[in-house]
Amino acid sequence: MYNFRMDRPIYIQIMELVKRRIVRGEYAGSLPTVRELALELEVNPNTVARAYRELEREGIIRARVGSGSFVNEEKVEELKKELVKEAFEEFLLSLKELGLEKEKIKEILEGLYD
Amino acid sequence: MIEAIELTKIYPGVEALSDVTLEIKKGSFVGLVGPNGSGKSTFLKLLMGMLRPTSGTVTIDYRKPGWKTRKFTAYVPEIDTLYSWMRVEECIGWYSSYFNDWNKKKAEMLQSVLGIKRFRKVGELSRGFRARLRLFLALSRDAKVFLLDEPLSGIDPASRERIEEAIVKSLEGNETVIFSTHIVKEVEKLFDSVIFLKEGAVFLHRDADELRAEYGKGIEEIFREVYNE
Amino acid sequence: MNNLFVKELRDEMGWIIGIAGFVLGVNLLMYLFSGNRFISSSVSLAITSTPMYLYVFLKSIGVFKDEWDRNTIYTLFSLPIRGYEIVLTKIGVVVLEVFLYYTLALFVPYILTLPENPLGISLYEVIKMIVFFSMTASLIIPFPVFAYIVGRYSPKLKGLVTFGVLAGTGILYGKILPLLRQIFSTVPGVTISIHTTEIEISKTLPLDWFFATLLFGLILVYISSLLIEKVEV
Repeated sequence: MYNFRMDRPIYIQIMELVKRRIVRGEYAGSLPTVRELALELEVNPNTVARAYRELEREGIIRARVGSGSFVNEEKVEELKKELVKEAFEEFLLSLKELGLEKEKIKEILEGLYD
Repeated sequence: MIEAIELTKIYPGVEALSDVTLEIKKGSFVGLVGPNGSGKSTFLKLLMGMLRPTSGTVTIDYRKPGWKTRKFTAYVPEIDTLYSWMRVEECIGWYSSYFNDWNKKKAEMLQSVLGIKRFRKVGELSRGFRARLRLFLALSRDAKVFLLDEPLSGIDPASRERIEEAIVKSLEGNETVIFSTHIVKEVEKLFDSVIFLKEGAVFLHRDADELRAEYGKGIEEIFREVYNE
Repeated sequence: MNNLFVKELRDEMGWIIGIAGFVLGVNLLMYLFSGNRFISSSVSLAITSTPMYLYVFLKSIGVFKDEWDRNTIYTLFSLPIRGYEIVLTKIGVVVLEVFLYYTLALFVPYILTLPENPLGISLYEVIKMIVFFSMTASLIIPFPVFAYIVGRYSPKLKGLVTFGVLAGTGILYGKILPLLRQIFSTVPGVTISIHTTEIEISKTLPLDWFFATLLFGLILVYISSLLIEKVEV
């Protein structure tokens, strides 16, 4: 079972999940069908279909009629950068919320760097 | 798939539905939400042809509800409606014989998910198990339209879980489903769109994810805000 | 429709067994306590016949009303079946109960007194009586069925409407009967005869009123079948 947040569109959360899995190499072959993923995540297949359509629009996946959807390998590098950047920006944001000076943070980070 | 135009239903002294105009597209899973008495059950019964409109029209697949539309519409009522003297197995056999769209494979899967007890009499089942059976009879069909009237209300937690699981597992994505409920938590993730009914009128009818994007809130939270006035 | 009839039958099984038990019980009592056997069974038939008419009347309403009272009407109306299927199968079960009653009430004493056969009645006469009495009692059925369904169709005051329709239909029937009887005036009557060494009775009962009432009843059944598709749950 997968716990989605209800205050953000579910199809966007599904997109993020799929992107993460692509980057982790879990979808090296082909992507699960809409129905398979819907069953796994316990959501409506229509929502998964919407996520897949958006991912296709972003060029991350490609649908081949009759044989399901596949990862667009050309876009994977870009995707990796995008996700790392996102994770990093979240990390930076949480640090900034501490309200410390940039030098103080650097000092602590260097101390922690093991 | 489903269209209502100025649909009004008045019982002696009570206006259950007021001038409801809406359209539900084929293949969408609609959450019909509102507190008790907001007109949800009335709407579903009108769709089944179990009630006649006082004024206005309602159509299902462009047809007036009647015995013909019941061929492709599956209805799960909120109350106990099965013949209590039938054994579960007989009930299933009898009921399924009326529908060309009965799907045996689906029925097998659902039977195990819902824990259907074949050899008991319907009257001997607990409330939760009777609810599971009613749902089983509807979901085992490849119906075009599914009308679920409060399938989770007043049901024990174990049965609720099974019923939710059964619904998720039986969805292909092209069915039109109307899920009426006053408890939105846990099931809102299944909604493509939501219709909020307030005192018999449509308060809001939007795509669920659009609502989440616009308000940054889940349907449950929006529900509490809408009905706490 | 056959599926539905079986379900109606099983739904009514308690009453069917009850009727059988009642008639057999009365017959048994008469058989044990009375000397002249067949006379006693006619007595038993007479004793239990008037309640039978009341029973038929109430049962005709009951088979429909029960579905509403138990909420099983929702199940019935979620099936893609026509109105006439519901109406005919329910009427069919009541007719079956009527036939069962008269068959047991007349046939059992016939069998029991067969060796002596004090009244010299042939099996053929017994069958004629069974059919005649059963069909006559069955003629009642369309009236309460029609009245109840119209009551259910009406959005308000269902009980009052049922009563009103019943009264109104009865009056209409009374007025129309002579006219309808004329249509069937050429139909021969049914003759029931009993001859023994002592008695010779032969009664010919005219059937024009029978077919007139049957026609009226069938019209009521037809309208009921149309209306029940539009009633509200």
